[in-house]
Amino acid sequence: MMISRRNFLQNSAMTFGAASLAPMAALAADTSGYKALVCIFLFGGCDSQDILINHDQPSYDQWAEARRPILDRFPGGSLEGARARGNLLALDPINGGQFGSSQYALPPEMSGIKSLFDNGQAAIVPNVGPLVEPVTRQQVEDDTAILPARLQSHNDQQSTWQAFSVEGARQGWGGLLLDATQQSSPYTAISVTGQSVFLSGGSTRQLQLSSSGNIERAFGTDRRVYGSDEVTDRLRAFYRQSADSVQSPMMRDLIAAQSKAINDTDTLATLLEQQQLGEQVRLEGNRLSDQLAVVADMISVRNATETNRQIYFVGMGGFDTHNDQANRLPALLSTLSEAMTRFQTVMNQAGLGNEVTTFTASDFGRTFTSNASGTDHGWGGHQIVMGGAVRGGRILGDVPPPTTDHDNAYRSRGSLIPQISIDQYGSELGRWFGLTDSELNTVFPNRNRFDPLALQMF
Amino acid sequence: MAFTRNALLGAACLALTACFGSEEEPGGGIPRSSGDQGAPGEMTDQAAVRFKQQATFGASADDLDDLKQQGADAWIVEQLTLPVFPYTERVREEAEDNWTNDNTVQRLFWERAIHGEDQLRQRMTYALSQIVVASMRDPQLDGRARTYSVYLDILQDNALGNYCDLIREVSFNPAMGLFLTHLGNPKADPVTGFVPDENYAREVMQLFTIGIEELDSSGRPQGRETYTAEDVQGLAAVFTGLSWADTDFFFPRVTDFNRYLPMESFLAQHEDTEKQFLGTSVNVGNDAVASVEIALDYLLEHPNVAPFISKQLIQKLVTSNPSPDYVRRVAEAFEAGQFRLSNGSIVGTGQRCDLAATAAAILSDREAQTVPTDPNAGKIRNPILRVANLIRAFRVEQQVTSSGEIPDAWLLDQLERSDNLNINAFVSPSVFNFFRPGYVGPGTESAEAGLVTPEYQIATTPALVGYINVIEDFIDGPPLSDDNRNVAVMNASDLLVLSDDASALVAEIDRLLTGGMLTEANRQYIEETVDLIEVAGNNIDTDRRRRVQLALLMTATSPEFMVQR
Repeated sequence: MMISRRNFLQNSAMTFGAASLAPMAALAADTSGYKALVCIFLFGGCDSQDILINHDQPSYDQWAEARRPILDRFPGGSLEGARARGNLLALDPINGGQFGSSQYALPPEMSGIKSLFDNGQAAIVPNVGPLVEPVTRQQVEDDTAILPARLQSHNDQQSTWQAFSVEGARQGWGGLLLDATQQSSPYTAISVTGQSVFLSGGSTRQLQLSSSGNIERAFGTDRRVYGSDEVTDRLRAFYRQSADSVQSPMMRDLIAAQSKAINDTDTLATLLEQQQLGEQVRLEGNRLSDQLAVVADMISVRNATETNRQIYFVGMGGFDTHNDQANRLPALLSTLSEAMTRFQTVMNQAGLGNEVTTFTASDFGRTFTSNASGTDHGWGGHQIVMGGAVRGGRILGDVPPPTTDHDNAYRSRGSLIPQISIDQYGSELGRWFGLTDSELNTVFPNRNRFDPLALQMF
Repeated sequence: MAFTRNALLGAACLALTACFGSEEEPGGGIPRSSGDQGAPGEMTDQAAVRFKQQATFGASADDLDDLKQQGADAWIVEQLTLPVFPYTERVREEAEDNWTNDNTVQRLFWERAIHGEDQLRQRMTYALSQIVVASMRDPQLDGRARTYSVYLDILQDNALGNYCDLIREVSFNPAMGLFLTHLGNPKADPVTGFVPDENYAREVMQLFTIGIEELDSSGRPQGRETYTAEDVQGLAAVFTGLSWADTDFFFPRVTDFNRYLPMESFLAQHEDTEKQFLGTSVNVGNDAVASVEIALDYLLEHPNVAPFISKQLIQKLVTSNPSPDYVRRVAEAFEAGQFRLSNGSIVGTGQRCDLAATAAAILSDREAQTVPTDPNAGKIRNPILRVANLIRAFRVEQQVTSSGEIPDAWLLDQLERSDNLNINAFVSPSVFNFFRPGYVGPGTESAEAGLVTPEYQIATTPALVGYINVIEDFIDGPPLSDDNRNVAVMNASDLLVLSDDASALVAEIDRLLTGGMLTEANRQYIEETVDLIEVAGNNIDTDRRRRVQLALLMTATSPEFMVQR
């Protein structure tokens, strides 16, 4: 039975997960020098088949034909709009020979990413997604495939991308990577877009920062209140009370979080006050750049926070483009590209271009064929990896053809069956981050079911 | 038919309820209260505060006196009779002279939350707005307050009415149609090959009706997913051919006429072939409205609906981790559409999906009424409810306005800012609300104990600090306009009278805000801190005010207030 086998695999994955609690192997993670990973999560499920676009004439024609209803809605239409072939930004990948006569392009809104690609500072990783084990189209059609649970469900796939299980997951691979680096600093896992299970490890706890860049302090923690130092001190201590006498774990959790928030904002407000790096990242009206500005500021105080391994989580919403994609998606891609490009430029100028690696993730890719003006939930999707350490200027994998009946087509609408699992994608990032093979095996329990050499990201 | 077996099971549950009804009396088959705490003259302060935290946006001293005298059951029954103040008329009137947006409807929401007498309806409306979400943060709804107000009235009208009716109405509502993109969703086009938009089909199943996993009658997942990608595609074809009434399908003109009407069927754009999903089919030609009604009837018949929606409402009102029996008892009331309170009053129409019966079952259950001994019971209170509670406890009485200028709500329409609470009514980041019913707080003791803590999802560093500051802002009070028409004004003069006596002051605040739940240690700590502000010298008025403000701030930031047990 498919279902019982799936349950069995989930159970065995949990057993693998528990193994990570065992004492560290003699070979420990390499944590020399400074390195940071930045995850940009594209909430809603990004239509990445509108990012990496087939560009040789026959493939483009197929791509455009499948998406005619969307293309017609672009200002300028199919022939002169932003998806007209002549307006696309042709890529000339270093590994272009691998693709024969197939050529690829980026949309014109992503000229920044195009430049980074050309300079060898960005790569495209095609068709990444959650997999329990390699899956073929035939297995899907025969109903013998072991599939991740709840494909195409936003909340569950956001969780699966970050933490390998559906809503309710408790540990994500960002947090687990940090666990392995055994940092003592409390400032290793930082989200600028709310709670993120991605950053929660066994021991790693995350800090959340506001994208405003301001560190607001709680009343009475940064100045005397009620005309009395003693009252102020006691109030502050009250916020940070131990809830030891309280039986309710919810009370203890909330007080622990409040207490940590008071401590963290105390430390960081002073530390970040003088920082200038973020201001260089901030672009007017670009909310992703606001978040990346906070990342830049935090990176610039890495010595003071005594950490040399950090993982950041930022994100932008709006990618659930079921309709009006011609008007909605280009604006999002432009925001994404401009923010990423500015961030990399500032990192390069600060001499950190090789020390920071940025990568995208998203709920899922989308259907290849359109509904009237948009696309629907899919599975695998193309991702962007950026940084001086990345083997840039390449498309690091096979790109499915622009049809609905190729070997990696999922069901009838040309969603993609992933060819690169998140385990592989994350493992490459984790290896660069300094983890050993055995450590990577505990973070990514299904890793050994996939070819470890298939993706060479660095 | 896929549901035949399940439908029979649903009927069997009802029969069982009838069997287990212990007393032989008329209406013995109606699900009845398992609690016994709500009798007139018998409620303690603690029970009264607890009940009001569950059923309302909080209570003042007068509210508590009234409730204790009246009893919880009579209060529930009375709530069902109170008039409804519609949003649509207010927003329509406002839009004649002023630009309207999300702040407009938020100000109306906060006016109702703090000053509405129909507290149960308001609390249920807010809960439903977090389950059947349409968000004004979405670019499609940005600035469309008039359109959105019709959606809000559907929630508000049905909040103590019928959930199945609510889903039927919401599915034809243009605001929902814009938000989940089934407004203007054309049928498949064989020429270009495009197929219907799957958005609403998926979310109406996943979030509004049956959920993603098959449940037993107590809301426990059975390990089987309820629908497949093919079911979504099949149902997507049903939600085609709907758009703004009385205009062009592809190039609609939105007017003051069709803005307030349900979406209408466009025969040429509705998929007129047989549409299959979940083992059934809809085949009634090209009338979109007829197709959708049949499809929704089928979905709403699913046995998941009662436990799925009941459990989420319990989570919003009472406790994050209700026992399976609690969920089952409430789901039975949802199924039966009627509920018998301890005082003998029968609530609900007898129609399945009755929300008055469901709310009564939630609130009068013994798991809601008894202070739990289980340390895992309770919920982190949504900060929106905490802020409302604080203001409401010391509100300056105002009538909810039915026309004229919309009152100011000061900071209340800015709470969603990330440095404030990062949450507010009607501006969810997506259809998945600000927090998920299944959220587990990574790295928490609650997670270790196997508990979900939905509200912990928004307890981020800036929002935790922001909560303290927002509370302080309201205690300090809003700047007043000439006519004092600010819904957020607090008057704590009753506390000023007590302010010289720290013990009496803290005891009264503790009574009002937590029902006396502060631990001995915290109560003493707050008293001692208050006593450090001496009432002496030239500014004794300031001293007294500060003592009250400090005691309020500390109580409102205590774990006993922030978590509802």
